Amino acid sequence: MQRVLMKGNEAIAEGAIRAGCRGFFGYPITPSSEIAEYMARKMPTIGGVFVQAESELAAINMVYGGAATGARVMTASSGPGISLKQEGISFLAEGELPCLIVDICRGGPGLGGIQPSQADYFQATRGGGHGDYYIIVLAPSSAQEMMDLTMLGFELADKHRTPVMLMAEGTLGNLIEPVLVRDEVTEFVDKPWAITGCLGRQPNIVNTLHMPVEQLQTRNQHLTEKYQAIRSQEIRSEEFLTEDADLILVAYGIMARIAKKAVMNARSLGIKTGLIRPITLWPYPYGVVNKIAQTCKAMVSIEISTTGQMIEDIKLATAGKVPIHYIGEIARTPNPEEITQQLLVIAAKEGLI
Amino acid sequence: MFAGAFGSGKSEIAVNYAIECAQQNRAAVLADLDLANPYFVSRDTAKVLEQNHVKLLAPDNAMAYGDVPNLPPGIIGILRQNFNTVVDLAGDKAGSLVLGYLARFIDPQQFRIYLVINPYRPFSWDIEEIRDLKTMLESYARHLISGIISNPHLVEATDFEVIEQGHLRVEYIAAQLGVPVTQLTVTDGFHEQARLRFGEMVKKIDLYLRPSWM
Repeated sequence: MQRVLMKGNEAIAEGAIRAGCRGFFGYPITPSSEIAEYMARKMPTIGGVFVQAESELAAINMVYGGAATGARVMTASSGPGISLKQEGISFLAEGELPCLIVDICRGGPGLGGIQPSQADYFQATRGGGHGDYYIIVLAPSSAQEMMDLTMLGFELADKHRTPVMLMAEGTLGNLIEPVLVRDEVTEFVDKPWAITGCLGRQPNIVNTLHMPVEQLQTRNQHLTEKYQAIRSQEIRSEEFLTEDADLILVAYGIMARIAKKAVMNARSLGIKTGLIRPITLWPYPYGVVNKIAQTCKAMVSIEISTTGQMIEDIKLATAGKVPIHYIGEIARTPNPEEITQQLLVIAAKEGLI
Repeated sequence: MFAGAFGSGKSEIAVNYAIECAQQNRAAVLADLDLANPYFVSRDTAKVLEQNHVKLLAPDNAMAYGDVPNLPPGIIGILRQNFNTVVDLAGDKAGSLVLGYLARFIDPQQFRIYLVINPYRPFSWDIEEIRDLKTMLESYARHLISGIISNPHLVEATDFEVIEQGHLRVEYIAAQLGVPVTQLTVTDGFHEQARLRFGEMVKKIDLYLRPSWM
């Protein structure tokens, strides 16, 4: 049976297994818990490891250990847990250890609530922990993409020796949709750096302490060059009806899907509207946003956040070329009609109707 | 009482059943006891239920948004009265615990538990998984399952073959478990065709929980 009906969270777990992940270390938290539940059920039947860790800190450090052996490993949590993991993520970045970290976002700050959110954007796209680093951040917008981008995440992690984050809203984690289950990954890159027992070779060491000035500078220079390579190779985004559009919406994740419907609604009301959907939140598609800013008249960032976070990247990308508006609230997923109403107000303000 | 694996369609079926009861002028109460998390739960349909004169009993105020075991006050009183009470349980073990607690307050003569199966959900194509679920539910409830509700679909990707193949799988599982399939639930577009193929057991349901942007 190829087609199954999956919650986004389940699709992540199954996608990870199909990508060859055999180690899951986590601490359950709503709205991400189905990932751990699925792994707990399935890992023991396929020779994998599932550990319900005693804390988020323990879980991320188990990921560090597992990844250092060259295995494909992961963890999953939600905002409060991801905050706790930040020290470990910084260490993973410096140790150049490939792994997948899933954030199924709920509203914060603090314990917040358990309703959907996209307000972990700053934390995800600016590294999150201490030191000079970034991690790749992927933002799926359907249950199918929860599976597909999970599998891509493991591939990118290995390719660039970096932690990768998959970030989605609680809504998508819990939304049930048909998923075409992908084939198992059978080819993996070599990891000559991995700690696998040093029979017949010099020991490999994974270490993040670099006391001499020159050593630390060399490390950071190396990481900086790696991030530049990722920027040049891995930016992913989608455009929808942008060519003739006066008003461009920018939205990611589940909001991109809802925004697409709002684009159609707005067009039927005579406003030439289009959508840019960043798929990689880091590296951000600055180039695409900048290019479209040359032809449109205004942009709107739509986020599940009250303050607005991605809007800052849109401002960086457009460098003042067009006015940037904002639509956003926390803890609920607005429907396309509500967004269309707000677009009408913005369009009127900009003289587009 | 509608039980089953999480994501099997219990809530949609419970809402439909409660509305149907009310339409037949039978005082209906829908108890939303899905306490696993607040995403896509039957209490989201409060407005529709009110319009259809179904009383909703659900975790309220701040608790409506929680993920902790919190039963709405009044549930036991309701269960002891002569209402048509439809209980929408959480999936899997979380629902079974609630079921175990409440079973003692229900008149065994009036008590019906239906196991909702969508075979396209993970683990639900597998007979041993369903057998384990059935055993767990029955032992917590100290009551046998009255029937299985077959709910085979792939939401927007459903076609008639999906329904047919899925339903045959549910029939097979049910036969192995020795429990009758009492209903096959389908949405409006498939109702006629399913009725021709599977007869009186086919039940049309409307979808109330699916977001409008899907």
